[in-house]
Amino acid sequence: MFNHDDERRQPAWRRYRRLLRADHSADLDDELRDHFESIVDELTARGYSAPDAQAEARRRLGNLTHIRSRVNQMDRSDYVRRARAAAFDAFAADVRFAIRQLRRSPAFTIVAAVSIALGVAANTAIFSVVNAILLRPIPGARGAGIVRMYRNHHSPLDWRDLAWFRDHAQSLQYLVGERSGSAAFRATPGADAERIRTSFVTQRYFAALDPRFAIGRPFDVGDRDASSASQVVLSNAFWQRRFAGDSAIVGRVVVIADHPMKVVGVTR
Amino acid sequence: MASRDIDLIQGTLNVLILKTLSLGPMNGYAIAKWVGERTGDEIDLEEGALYPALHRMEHRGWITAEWGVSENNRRAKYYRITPLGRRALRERTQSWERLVDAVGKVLAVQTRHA
Repeated sequence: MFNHDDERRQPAWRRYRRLLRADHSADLDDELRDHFESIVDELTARGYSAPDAQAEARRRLGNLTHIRSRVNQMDRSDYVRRARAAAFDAFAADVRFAIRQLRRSPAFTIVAAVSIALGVAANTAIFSVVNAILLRPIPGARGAGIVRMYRNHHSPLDWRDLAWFRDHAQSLQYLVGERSGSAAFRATPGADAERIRTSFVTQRYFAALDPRFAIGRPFDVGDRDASSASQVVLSNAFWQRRFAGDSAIVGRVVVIADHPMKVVGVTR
Repeated sequence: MASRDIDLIQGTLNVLILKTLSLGPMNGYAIAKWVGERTGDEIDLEEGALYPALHRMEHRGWITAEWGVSENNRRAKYYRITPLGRRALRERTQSWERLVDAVGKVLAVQTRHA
């Protein structure tokens, strides 16, 4: 009847939607149609002709599209609000249920809590290492131009491998390696030892990374002959902590892993 | 056209609907008709306000609706007042009476013309 046009525009399956679930829009159409027909019936009973009665009913009902959109909008927002409230209630009920269950079996709860704590701790530890070694950008002036090289499963490359890659790589200007570990540090021979983190680096390491120096200079293989002491570069943090930033450290000989080594520089 | 209809104060519509439904379940048409007859057509519940109000009160739980078949064999939606709706009706009737009383006192003051 009055929404004939609407129905014709809609696909046929739309009429069966009500079978699947509540169809607020179709319900509202029915409700308004009942209202319209009631007015027509009343007017016809009072002696109006059918076309006159329908015209009058249409006039009285006014803008149907407006009524429909207002009510539909309200129904929709109410539906959303209710769905949200229901979802939250369900979640709260689940939480309460879980707490009741856990309280009923404290041994299980403790085992579960400890398992989770250990799992989180292990993951945190692994992430800290991965972040420090793999994810953080390599420090140094070159920054973005630096890539890391991996073999399958991150197994270390030995010096021979590195040398082979260095000689055969076409697209890399430098190819350098670093082996990190820890060693005993003594400021002078016979002094108390402190365990520090150390790295052995390949030749051209400092040329490749080009780090900035607070004092002194980097070293390279060309600097030394077989008779002179090995050379070491200290990190800024260690220099500050251990030697209070004393610039007289350059040129001194320290003992690392029982080998005398000459300090040539400190990084910035 | 002279204003035949009384403009409904915000919220008055709800209390009129609730009062009407307290007499028994009705569809929207019957509610509007009853209020019109009862007030000698002074109050004309416009459909554009009536249906949004009905649906809003249904969401609030003041009224419930069920589908039935009208005497003319049409699918019709009948509204029924709930206990919550009856309480709202009581409260709103009281505050309406207080308002009428207060406004009446003000308007009853005799104006002297100089």
